Amino acid sequence: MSNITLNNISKCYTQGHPPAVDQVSMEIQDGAFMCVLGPSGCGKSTILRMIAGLEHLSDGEIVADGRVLDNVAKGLFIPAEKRQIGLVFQSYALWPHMTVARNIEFGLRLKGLPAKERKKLVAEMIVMLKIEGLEDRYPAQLSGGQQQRVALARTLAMNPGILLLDEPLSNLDASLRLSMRAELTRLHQEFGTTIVFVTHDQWEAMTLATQIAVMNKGTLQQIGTPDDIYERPANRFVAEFIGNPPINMISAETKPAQQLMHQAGFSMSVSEGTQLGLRPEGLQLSREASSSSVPVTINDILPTGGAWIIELTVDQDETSPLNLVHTTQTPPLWQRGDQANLKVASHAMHLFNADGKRQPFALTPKAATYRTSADVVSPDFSQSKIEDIS
Amino acid sequence: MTEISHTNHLSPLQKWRHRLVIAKCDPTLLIGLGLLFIFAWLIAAPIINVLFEVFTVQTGDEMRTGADAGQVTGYYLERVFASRMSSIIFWKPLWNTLLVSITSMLLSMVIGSILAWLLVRTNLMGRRWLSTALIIPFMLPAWTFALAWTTLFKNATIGGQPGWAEAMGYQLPDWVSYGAFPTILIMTLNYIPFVILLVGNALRRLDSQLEEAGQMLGASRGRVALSIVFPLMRPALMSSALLIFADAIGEFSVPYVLGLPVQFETLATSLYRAIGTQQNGVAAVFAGVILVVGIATLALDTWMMREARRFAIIGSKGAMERRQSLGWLQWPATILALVMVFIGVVAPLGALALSTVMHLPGRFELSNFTLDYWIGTNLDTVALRNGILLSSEFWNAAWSSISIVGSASICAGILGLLTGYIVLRSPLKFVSVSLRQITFFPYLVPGIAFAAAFLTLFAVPHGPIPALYGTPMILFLALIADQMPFASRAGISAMTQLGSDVEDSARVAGAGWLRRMFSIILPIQRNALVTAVLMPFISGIKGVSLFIILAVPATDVLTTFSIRLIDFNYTQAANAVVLMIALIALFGTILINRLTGTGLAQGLES
Repeated sequence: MSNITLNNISKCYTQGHPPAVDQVSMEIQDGAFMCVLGPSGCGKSTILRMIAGLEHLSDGEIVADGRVLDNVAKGLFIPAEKRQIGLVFQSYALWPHMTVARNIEFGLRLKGLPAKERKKLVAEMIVMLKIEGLEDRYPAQLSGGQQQRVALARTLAMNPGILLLDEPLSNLDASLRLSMRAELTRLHQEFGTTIVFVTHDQWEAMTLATQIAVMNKGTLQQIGTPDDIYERPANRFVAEFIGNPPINMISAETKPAQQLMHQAGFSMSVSEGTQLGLRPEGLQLSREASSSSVPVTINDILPTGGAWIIELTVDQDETSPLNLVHTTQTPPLWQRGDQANLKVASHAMHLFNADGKRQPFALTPKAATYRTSADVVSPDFSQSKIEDIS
Repeated sequence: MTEISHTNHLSPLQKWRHRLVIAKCDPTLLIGLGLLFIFAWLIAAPIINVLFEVFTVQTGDEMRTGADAGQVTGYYLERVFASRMSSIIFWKPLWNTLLVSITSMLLSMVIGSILAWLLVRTNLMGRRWLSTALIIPFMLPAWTFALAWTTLFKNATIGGQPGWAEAMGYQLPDWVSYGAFPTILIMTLNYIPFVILLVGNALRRLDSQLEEAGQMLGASRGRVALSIVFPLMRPALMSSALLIFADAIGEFSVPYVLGLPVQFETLATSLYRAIGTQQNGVAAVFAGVILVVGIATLALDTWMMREARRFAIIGSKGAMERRQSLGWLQWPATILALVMVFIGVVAPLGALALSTVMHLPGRFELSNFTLDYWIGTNLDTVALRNGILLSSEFWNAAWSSISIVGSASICAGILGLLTGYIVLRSPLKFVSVSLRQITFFPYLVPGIAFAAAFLTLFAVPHGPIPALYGTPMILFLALIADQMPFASRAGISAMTQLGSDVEDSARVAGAGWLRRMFSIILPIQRNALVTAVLMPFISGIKGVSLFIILAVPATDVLTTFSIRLIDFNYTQAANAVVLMIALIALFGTILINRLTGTGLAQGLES
């Protein structure tokens, strides 16, 4: 029901230090389920708190539904208590001296709703979030999952147009995470609320969000759908941050890299400092050697339950060994120490120039005739905003 | 990364306007500045003023100094430090102060550490019971023990009722009855619980796996104690020693009660005498000296604690507490602890209590016992013709004690909690840092010096504030200021534990500042608030230094009332009043322990 615009927002806690958030702009559409993803300390929580009004901007502007919430140049600021934005804290921040029902009711009281309406709303929320029977308990008597439901109920009861969630799943155990994930998706569809959440956990981001904004060191790296981010990382940071196990990154100028690019049908001429990223699941091992495959030795095979991580070393003359990681869902037929031949699927290959920026592959003339993927020839940047990492 | 702040395109005016708009939404900063102003007036101003007084000609000293009142002079410094009188008025008391402080510090450290180790690390019999019993002296005013000593061991040097020993026919020399020896003994007894608490806590935190790791590597028990336990305990030991020393140099009541008959003066009693004889300039010098020594000692402590952080013990995960078996030492150790309980608690309190129900001291005959001093009427005395429970003086004093100390404690508690709030939430770091420091400052200043400082500032009118001497107001203000270290520590630690999320979530829900205070912060911090009120209350009720200087007969409180009774030799009545004070302090402390469920030690640290 609401959209939010961040215009070049910055946050500088200490003068002279690098800013916690550095000129970030994004447009969060009405009804979006947006995730701000990044390693800890990248400024993502600060962004959330600035939208909520718990921190003020050092520069820039935040607008929600045409209402300016914070603008430094114009000297405008609306405090958190007047923004009517819902925020669920990572710690849930339930009021320990109030029962579940009182926790949910508190905001409604402040709104001045009559008792009857409050009671009805509280009852509705309790049913919706499946916390029946806990109304008279105190937060300390609840489990983590129940506390989170109460925190959500407390926020949703206010029917905010914008819902902010701080690491919504990170404090939950594996099974609760799954059910809470489903719950959040359902709530998003049911309410149509604009949801913004922050997390450092890519699983959480990929499974929940419709849009992901990747942050690093206070700057925005890329915005896009989960698939965009994974399949077309805008720069080296995004490529290395997303994916588990992380992408293999090797110098594109080495002989094996050249060979792999060649077997995928890409042109081998690259500028200095260019890095080639290989997604572990895109590696293909076979016994038959071909002219374009790269010989490797199997170093180790680690079962992870239903999937396997295979560690490889590329056989080459150079002094420093080139190690790669491969993941596969099919039971490997290899033994430690086996020789194998490596190929890599073209969609699993990414090229980054010396500045870390994504670089399109050029096709060899022969390959161009049957390869038409738009991604390869001219990467589609229309959906992604790219910021320089440097 | 942009090297230069990219906010440069904003003019300072724009930044300030934005900040002002934000500040208007949140009164935290305003309240912080208000608190700073209050504390500057209550804490900083008196102390700065007393230091100025040292160099200012006092009214009445124009003849001696040859200058007009208010002019700058070095007369007082010279008189105290370098005149013919110096050795009597300053150097001798200084020597006595150092003698008493250092000796009682060392003795209490040794005995206290042994007891702490026995209680925390061994299978001593009756540990639980003993660890409470051994702490009791800490809850009582120090001069309770001084009075108990005179009750038992007073000799014929001064008049009035004889001590029990005298009455039973033992002639005691002066050095046993008065002066350095009993003062050191009583102060040692008083500080032992303090050492037990601090060292015991440090021992408790010391993971016994660290010792076992040493043993596994083949170190002997003695080796482990010397190379592992002692180095890790050193910060706690040094810290307790310095805190005790800083407290001891300002101790007034014990040397006052025990030193007076033999002219045994310390800096604190000299200061009192200087004020009593209108030598305000000299008093200011004494206050200044006590202040400087106190601050230097605690600064040293802070510095050493910072050093000690370097080897903070890592990881309490799976910390284990394993007790050593005492073996054949079991009995001697238990007896030692029991003897300490007897000397520190049973004997003094018993002697005081018994003395209040006996006509003549030390004579255990049925006919000698009486309840007259508690509930008698028409007694055969010049003044105080009723037992104290029936005398209006007692109840008036009790009422002023409770009302003055009580209202000051409530104010201190609220200010303490507010201070805690501002220290953690202030948007300006300077406000939170200076609030934290200024509220802790009175801790560095011995009570007697602080009282003297208060007297010099508030005895004369300043601007809109009238002269406050002789009014309960000056006591009230001095108590608030003096108790702020405890109140603000309680407030800061409570607010630290609360975290800002709970309040932020109320903000997001739409609650303004007042609503957050009354619906969220205060209800959650109810117990902390009670502690922040009770702790100052107990410390205020048993305190002597502030009252002895600032109270006048019109504002009689329990402590001054009992000191007056001592001065007039109404021994039984005085002891009865002191017992009442001890009871209030004891029950108050127990109440705090119940409320917080943590015990005293927390309040002592930080």
